[in-house]
Amino acid sequence: MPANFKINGRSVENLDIDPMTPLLWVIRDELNLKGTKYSCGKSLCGACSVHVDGELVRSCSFPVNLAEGSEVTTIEGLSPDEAALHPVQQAWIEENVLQCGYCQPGFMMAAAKLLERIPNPTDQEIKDSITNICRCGTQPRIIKAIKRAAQLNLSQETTPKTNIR
Amino acid sequence: MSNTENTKKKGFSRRKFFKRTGIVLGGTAVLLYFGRHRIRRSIAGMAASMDSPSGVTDFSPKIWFDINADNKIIVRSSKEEIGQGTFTGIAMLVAEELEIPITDVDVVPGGLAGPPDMAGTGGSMSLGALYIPLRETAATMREMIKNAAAAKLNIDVNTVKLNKGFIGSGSKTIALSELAQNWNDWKIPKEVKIKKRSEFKIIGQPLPRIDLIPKVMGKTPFCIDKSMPEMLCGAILRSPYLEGKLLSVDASEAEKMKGVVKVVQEKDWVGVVAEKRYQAEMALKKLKVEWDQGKMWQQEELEALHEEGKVVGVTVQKDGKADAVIEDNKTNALNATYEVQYLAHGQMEPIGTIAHFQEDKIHIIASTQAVDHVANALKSEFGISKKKMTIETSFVGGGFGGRHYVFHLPIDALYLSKAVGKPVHLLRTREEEFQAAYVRPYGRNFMGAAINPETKRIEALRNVQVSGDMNLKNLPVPGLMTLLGADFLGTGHGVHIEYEIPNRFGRIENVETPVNTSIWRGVGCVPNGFARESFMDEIARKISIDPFDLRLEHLTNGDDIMQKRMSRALLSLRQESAWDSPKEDGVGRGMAIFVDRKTIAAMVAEIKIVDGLYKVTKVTQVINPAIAINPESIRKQAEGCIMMGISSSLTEEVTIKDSQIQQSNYHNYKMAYVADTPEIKIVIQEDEAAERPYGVGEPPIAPVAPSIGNAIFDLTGKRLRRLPFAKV
Repeated sequence: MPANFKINGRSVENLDIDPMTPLLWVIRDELNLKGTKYSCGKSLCGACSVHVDGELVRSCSFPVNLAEGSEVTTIEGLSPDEAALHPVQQAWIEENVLQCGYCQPGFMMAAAKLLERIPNPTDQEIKDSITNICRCGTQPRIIKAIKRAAQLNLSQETTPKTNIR
Repeated sequence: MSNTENTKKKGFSRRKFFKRTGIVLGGTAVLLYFGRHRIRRSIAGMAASMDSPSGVTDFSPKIWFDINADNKIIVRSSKEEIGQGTFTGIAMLVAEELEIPITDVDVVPGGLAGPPDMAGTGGSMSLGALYIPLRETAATMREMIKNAAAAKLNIDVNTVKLNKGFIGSGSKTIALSELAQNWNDWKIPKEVKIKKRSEFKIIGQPLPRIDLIPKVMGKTPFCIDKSMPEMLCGAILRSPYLEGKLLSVDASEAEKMKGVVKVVQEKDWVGVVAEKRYQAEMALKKLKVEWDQGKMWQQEELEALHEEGKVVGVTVQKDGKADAVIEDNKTNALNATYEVQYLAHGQMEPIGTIAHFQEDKIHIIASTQAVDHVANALKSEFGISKKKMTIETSFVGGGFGGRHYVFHLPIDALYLSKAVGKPVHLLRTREEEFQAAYVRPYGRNFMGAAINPETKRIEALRNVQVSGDMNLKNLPVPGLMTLLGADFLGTGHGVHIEYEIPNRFGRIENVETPVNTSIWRGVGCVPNGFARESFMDEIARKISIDPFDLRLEHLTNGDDIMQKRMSRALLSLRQESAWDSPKEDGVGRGMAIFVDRKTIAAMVAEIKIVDGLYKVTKVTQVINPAIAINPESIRKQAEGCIMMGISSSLTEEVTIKDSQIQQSNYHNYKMAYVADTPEIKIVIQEDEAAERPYGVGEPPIAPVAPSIGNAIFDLTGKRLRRLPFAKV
């Protein structure tokens, strides 16, 4: 059954793919968007996190047929370009968060979702909510960056938000 | 444009200046010459204290630099960017001497065509060892550019300035890329000066990473993201048993699956090549494989092999008669055995290789920490000279030692490619990452001390480490273990006791086991740091002296510089951690200090018991790498070591049952989450008179486990001598 959905605002039509193929491999190998990463393959680490219809999804364990007719956002779609960064990406730069960087797109997708749910989270709320894994040890800076992104968001409240789901 | 062949033909007037002897792992040739016996001890001693070499054997500007069309100066790095920030450090060293902003420099992975590097990326040695030679190379490049511009524009060389990719004086300027068209004719200056520390404008600044924006945008290509035309996907199955052998494969079901191109059987493994990744993985699961399981090893049996005095070892330190003094002072002696577990690297990007095998040439894209080692392995496997190999490297999604010795993956990928006649991307699944892993060896440290309760001085201290090997079995040089007696450079690194004690004995013994073991962040400093610094705490408790005071009283007298540095680190840590202030109820506090190739790292940990688990709540660490190239990068490395140290001290463990590694993914190999982050304070110290910096990627991990263990004792009165620390 061919797959049809939207990714980062672009339509994917009649894609010939095994419907059980994990969304991750469709994003990476069929649509050539390489920012979403494979790491555990079992929904344990969050490196493959994307948004599907506004929900945070670990795409390594999400068959592409569940995304039928949906709107998918990946790290490439989180902000339109480098000149108009999502507050999370901006905060990630300001806090100089990343080391190897491999798991970071997944963290940023999770952080963006957290801030929609809790606009100004405490350290404990961040610790309770973000369950992605990083081996380089960027966790201390991730906490700082999420709090900074919250501040950036709050200071931008007056200006209209870009449509990021 | 930068062409080594041309360089060779034309000859380099100052070639000797740039060619350096690559002393790697103490220089195998030297060891072959000196042989065994007592010389091993002096070599081990030298190795522990020597300045680490870069492993790079060619510093010619033409092999290090490239100038691209947009006038950026490109550095082709021999060291990989595995997350540690080396590319940012390299950009800083180069920009400093080129006298240009760091934004006008880019650093790319050099691959096999880049500068030859016998050491690979490890040992926390990259920036410290490149600190002087790479700046000399950059200063030479600067003078070459200036001279070429002065000649081209017919201006005084002293007025020439490089500015945003244009070079010249006043209105007379030329684009770098245009000037570089004649780059093969550029003359190498006879003498160049590098800057003094006091003249630095970039080095020493807390700069953000140069790879920050592309990585935040998800655009940085890792090996897993690369491709070759007509590339297929490969997956392989190796024996899940320690000594297993492949007997037979029934591939009939797998071969019928959609997208499967071929099932490939080799001596040790079976693999599938398919059009898509998902197809390859699904087909692999449909193979019916029969294994000769070999001997059934159990964890307890493997651990029991680690007894003292059963194998040849190397005594790395012998002052006085430590064992006799401990034996004679039974009432004032302490003896204890410490244990560390098998550990996985757990880096987030699984190891993979893209390979294209053609009739008489090889093209691979590898995710490795040691490209020259890979080339050597391919040369001996396929009999193809390095000239006929193209090995590209890319940004690497974490290393921690896990990629240093994994040579079989490029080999396997090439066999898959050979079988189908097309490029193949071989990628390990996370399950293979754990189950076919080269793990940090299990080991024991047999500690002993004799103490004078009156003077509160330690009269004798011994540390005998019995462990699996980290390096020697993995290096592509046969017979190293027989020759050297033990891996004192990796596993035994840190056995050496710096404290001023009249009778000291340090020894490393490597046990042969069927487990594939290798280096892991901090190498021997993790087990030895844990054992020695926990044992120092035991001594302090026994004679009722403050742990800081015990160490301050036993700083080495033989080395004034080291004594001053250690004393300064301890005093600063004591103050910054508020060690002498009262603790809250339910908090335990512990400290430790360790020296890893001259970098000092000292730490105080505070712990609590939360929901029946030990929780590290606060960490203060002082690190002294002598010179801070980028304080921001040092902080990040210290944070990384603290998180990895907490994780490996509290929860991580690889165990073996029925000859199989039991852990298969992150659900049963527990690594730190964001929730495990303590409050962290890091203090960086430098030494004014230092001539070069020491490493920062690994040294901060050594004091983590012992400071946590000492804090647990402080809170509970229980001395935990095995990692990971058991549940409360």
